[in-house]
Amino acid sequence: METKIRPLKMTEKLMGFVGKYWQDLWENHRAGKLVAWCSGVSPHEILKGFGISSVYLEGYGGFCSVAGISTDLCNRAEALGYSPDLCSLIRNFIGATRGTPAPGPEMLPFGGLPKPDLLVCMPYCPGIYKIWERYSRYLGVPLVVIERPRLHDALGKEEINRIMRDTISELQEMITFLEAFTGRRFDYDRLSQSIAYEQEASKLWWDVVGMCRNIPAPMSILDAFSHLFPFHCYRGEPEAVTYYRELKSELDERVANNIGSTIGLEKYRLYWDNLPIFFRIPEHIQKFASYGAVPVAATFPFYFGFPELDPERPLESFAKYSLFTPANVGLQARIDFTTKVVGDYSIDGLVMQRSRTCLVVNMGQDDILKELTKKTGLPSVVIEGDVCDSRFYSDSEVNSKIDTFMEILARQGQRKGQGDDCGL
Amino acid sequence: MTKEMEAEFSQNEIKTFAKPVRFVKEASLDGAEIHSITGYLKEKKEMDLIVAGVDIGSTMTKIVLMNTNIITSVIGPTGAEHRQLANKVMEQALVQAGLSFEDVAYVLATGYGRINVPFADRQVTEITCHARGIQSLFPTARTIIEIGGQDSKAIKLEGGKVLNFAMNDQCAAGTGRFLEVIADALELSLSEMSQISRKAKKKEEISNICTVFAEQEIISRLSEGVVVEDIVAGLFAAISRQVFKLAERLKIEKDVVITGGGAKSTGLIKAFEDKLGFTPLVPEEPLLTGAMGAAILGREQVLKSLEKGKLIRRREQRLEKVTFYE
Repeated sequence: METKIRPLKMTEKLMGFVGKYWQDLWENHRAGKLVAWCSGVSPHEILKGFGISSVYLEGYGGFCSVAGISTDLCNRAEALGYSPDLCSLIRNFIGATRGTPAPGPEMLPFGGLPKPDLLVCMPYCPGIYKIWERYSRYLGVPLVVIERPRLHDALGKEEINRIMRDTISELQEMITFLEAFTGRRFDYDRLSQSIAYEQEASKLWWDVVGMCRNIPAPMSILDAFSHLFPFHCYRGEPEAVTYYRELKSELDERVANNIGSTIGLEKYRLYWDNLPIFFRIPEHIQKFASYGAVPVAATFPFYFGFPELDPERPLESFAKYSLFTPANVGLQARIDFTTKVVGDYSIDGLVMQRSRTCLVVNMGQDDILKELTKKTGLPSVVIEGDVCDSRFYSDSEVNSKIDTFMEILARQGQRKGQGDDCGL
Repeated sequence: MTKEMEAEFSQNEIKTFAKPVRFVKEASLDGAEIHSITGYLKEKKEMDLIVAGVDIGSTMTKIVLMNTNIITSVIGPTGAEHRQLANKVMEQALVQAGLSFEDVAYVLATGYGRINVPFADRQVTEITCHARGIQSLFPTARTIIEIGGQDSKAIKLEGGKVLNFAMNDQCAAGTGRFLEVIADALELSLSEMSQISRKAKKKEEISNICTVFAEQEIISRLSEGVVVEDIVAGLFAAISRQVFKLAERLKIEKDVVITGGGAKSTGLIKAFEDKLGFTPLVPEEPLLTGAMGAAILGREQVLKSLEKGKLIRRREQRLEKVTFYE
């Protein structure tokens, strides 16, 4: 297949940024500093107020998948008796930390995960507590669970305000617990500073994602998923701000010069639903590019960051972030948000990735597709895959579906004069 | 490979045709030969334009040679030992038609083995090709169900073109392969299975959709004393249920056409009829609709390009074996 991709310079810097984070994390651990494993949208910024290093575990799953070892790790979790139907990010994590046979540090990205002193869970997924309860017992470390009620469509203002108050109070309880756990007084100034960095990084990140509205888009949204890693690593840290400032600057330059992510005409602009299939990101970008198609929009990148974070009201604005993120709102709100994204990015077709082991994203995906099809009339394709487990993915089937989808798009000639002339 | 399928290797009447059009080499650009038949456009010898549709499926390789009508067709096995013999199937088609490869103006390949066909000018997916083939046979078709050797597909048509499609995912349930495995386990041919199923008093529930587990389930039912006709009727019902679910995603609308190798099983068609509540349409030769669609699309592309006065770029075509793994 002909190469048509125009790589970003920042992609070369990506591993440097991420590698430095892991190096520091391991050094802190070896120096006896506290490390917390965090899941979901956990308040890393509060941990920074105690000088605790944090690791975002779902992000580590993404690394393992990109590194091509996640299926092996899932197998090692299944060898312990876990079902292959369970979330592959969780199985990947279990395989990396407890799998049998135990994976050596040399096979794991960044030498694996340093043993934690604390577990923090503010889940995206209703079942995720269960695994942290298990790990808390297994490792003999405390577990902090911050409940995050879902904001169903039918909730009124008063109910939402009550949920906000409850969430803020849980965050305060977490601070009280950590003061006792660390023997240190909480540094509110450090929290405000951390929230300020997070807000700045959020603004830059949302700007970066928003730049793909430009025609041609300066970056594929599938590439954007890789550029989320610094966000996972440097939550509430200045390094994230530096990274996204540089990334935005590179994209600004592309937009100013009308340079797209692919060499040649950007014929079709696609919406990608759900997470990427991490172990196939470059292949999918390439596959679409061979047809002059670029996935330019997705809702998932907006799950990360919240420009409304406010250093003056850190706990309140963080509670709002955790509750109002698109991952936590009701189905109608998800439909509305997706419709808006599809409208904003001049989309020609919809690619729905059905991740086999992800309950949270799959539930509602068909409703979203139905509504989008009704409202926009855009052609769509559903591709079966998985975030981490390649046994639920087949190149030949996915490629065949993409080929057919591109033929439909070509025939419909979504954009004037760019349709195929072969009568398909 | 069943005996029935082996028996399909051949046939179709050779029809008379006019002197074939040959492409004329005109220039070379980027290593690609540019050929043109512009001269023939002026003389409007559309009848003389011969195009081949090549459908390399997981089980069978199908070739249709056509001008304004089908000249000839050949169905040969793709199977493991034959998988590199698509050129042989093509040679057989040419012999049947009394043509040489140079007489074929354009070759459009489809099916899962379409990518590395060294003698094809263009590749188009089987969904588009089946849709075009079915549309030419049944202009009223709105829903197509294709039961192939390796997968099943549902296609929704609008105005004769593909509006939407769905494919079974990473599972042999509801495919020709599923039927073959069970036929082997029961030591029956596909046509015997269809005949036996007509005698069934009830449809034995086959709950497992995994081919291997379904085979085990059937063996254990037999050992429990369940009669084979009820098992076979249950099996057809299970396959139709699995594929029906796929088509329902697209909302089934009349007319419904069932094609692909699976459509050769009358027992399975009867199961679909029960599920649909009406009689689906079935092509006379369901194995050929993809190759036929490919030939029609190829012909349409050539004619359209000629109308526009465009040159068609052709690489030097080699009637060599298909290279799946290179």
